[in-house]
Amino acid sequence: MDDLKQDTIDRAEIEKQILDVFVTDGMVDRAKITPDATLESLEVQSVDVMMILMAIEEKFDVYIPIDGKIAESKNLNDFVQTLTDRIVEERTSRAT
Amino acid sequence: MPHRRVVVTGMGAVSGTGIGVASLWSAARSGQSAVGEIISERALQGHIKIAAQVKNFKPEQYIEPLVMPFCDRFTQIAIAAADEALAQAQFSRKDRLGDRTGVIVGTGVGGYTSIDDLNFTFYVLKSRTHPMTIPRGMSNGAASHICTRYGCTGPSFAVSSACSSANQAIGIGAFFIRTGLIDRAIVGGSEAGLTPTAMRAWENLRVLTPDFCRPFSKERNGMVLGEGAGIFVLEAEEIARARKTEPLAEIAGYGTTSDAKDMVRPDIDGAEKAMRLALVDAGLSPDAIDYVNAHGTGTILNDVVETEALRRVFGSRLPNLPVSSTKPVHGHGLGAAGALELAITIMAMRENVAPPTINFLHPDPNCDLDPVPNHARELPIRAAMSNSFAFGGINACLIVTRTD
Repeated sequence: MDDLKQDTIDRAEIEKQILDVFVTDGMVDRAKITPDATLESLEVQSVDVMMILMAIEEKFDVYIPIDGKIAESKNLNDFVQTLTDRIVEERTSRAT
Repeated sequence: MPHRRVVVTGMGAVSGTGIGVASLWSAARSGQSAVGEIISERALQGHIKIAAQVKNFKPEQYIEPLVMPFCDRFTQIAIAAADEALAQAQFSRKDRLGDRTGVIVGTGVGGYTSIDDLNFTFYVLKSRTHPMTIPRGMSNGAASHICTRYGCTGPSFAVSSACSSANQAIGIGAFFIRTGLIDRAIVGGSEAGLTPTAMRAWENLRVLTPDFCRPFSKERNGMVLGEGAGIFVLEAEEIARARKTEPLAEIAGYGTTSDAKDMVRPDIDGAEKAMRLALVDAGLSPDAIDYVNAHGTGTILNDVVETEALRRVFGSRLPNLPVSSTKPVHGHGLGAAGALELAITIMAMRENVAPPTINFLHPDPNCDLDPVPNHARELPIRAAMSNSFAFGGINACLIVTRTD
């Protein structure tokens, strides 16, 4: 149970930090960030996505390849969840 | 003037699989990947540390000490590939090939290793830089050295169109022969740029896989880089026959287009049109094509776009059309890609064997072609197509046919 709680806290913190990157490196207006926002509605261009992924990589020391899950992310929430999964996976594999 | 036919009379290759077309074809056919940890003098600082690197290549075995200072690595491997191709075509360095022979060699960036050395020496070491950096770095280095080596005094230049460089160099060489401008062309592509800076720059584009390149597979997550050179001797058929050389294949069709859209996103229309133009040029219907060597990088987007373009060209036949990508074996050779893949395509046709797409796990419903998964397949191949689609939106497609 403690593990689960720890994981939940970690995830929330990671998600928050990812959204911070959208604001700082993707130059997205924080007021426009809602769960159903899309990259289009946030006016995030492909170059911005690369900058955001680079910043996330530096921040979390991970590499994010573009696979089916990332490519098929329909909205910001999907995108953030997929990135969070990757970061958690990477941390878990390093811890073991 | 009647339509001159253009044949291939010699092939040479240097790749991660080793020196020679034989090792390239053997690896492609058996699905033996040359991908491994990159060996680099300077530390790779990124996350991606794998590629199909040319290993155990000894340039001094090919190049004289007085010439070596002028040769970047991409030129060195191109010379080794050219020596193999010209030997197969029964030429030696004593034969000065003269005004009727052109040399056209594609490369994405040319002497990248020399430029990387220059920057490191200048900015970091703050010491004396290589005096021949400029001629080493120039994109026409490989073409010009081959000219000098074999006395080719006809037209010579580099084609630089990223990943379509080699296919365009081969296609334009064939067209020059057809029009009667020259009788013979030494063509192909070369690329050697697996430096830490280049790896980092590629990594930033998010197109590299951290583990396995799996073209057309549902689980694919990117491409793997390679380096290498592929060189061909093309000749007008009547000239080759008069020399009593046995042609290996005919360059039957060439088609090339520009998307005029996005710099990095592949485009269905542009890819489709390049394939259609190559078919028209070859005078063949899509049904005549027995095997396609795909661009097949293994990125999510390329493979979906290429499949869709193939569907428009081949229609309902697509699920049964053998289309394989050999990039997981020799890596994405960038400016050399089309040349390495044409050598494989010609060998596939000569041996009637479609090489496999290795690392294949599960079909992707968006890529419903026959990827010849994991194992080579025997089938009659009378005509084959090889695709290259490049950043900048440049598409180039070649079609080869048997000469017997």
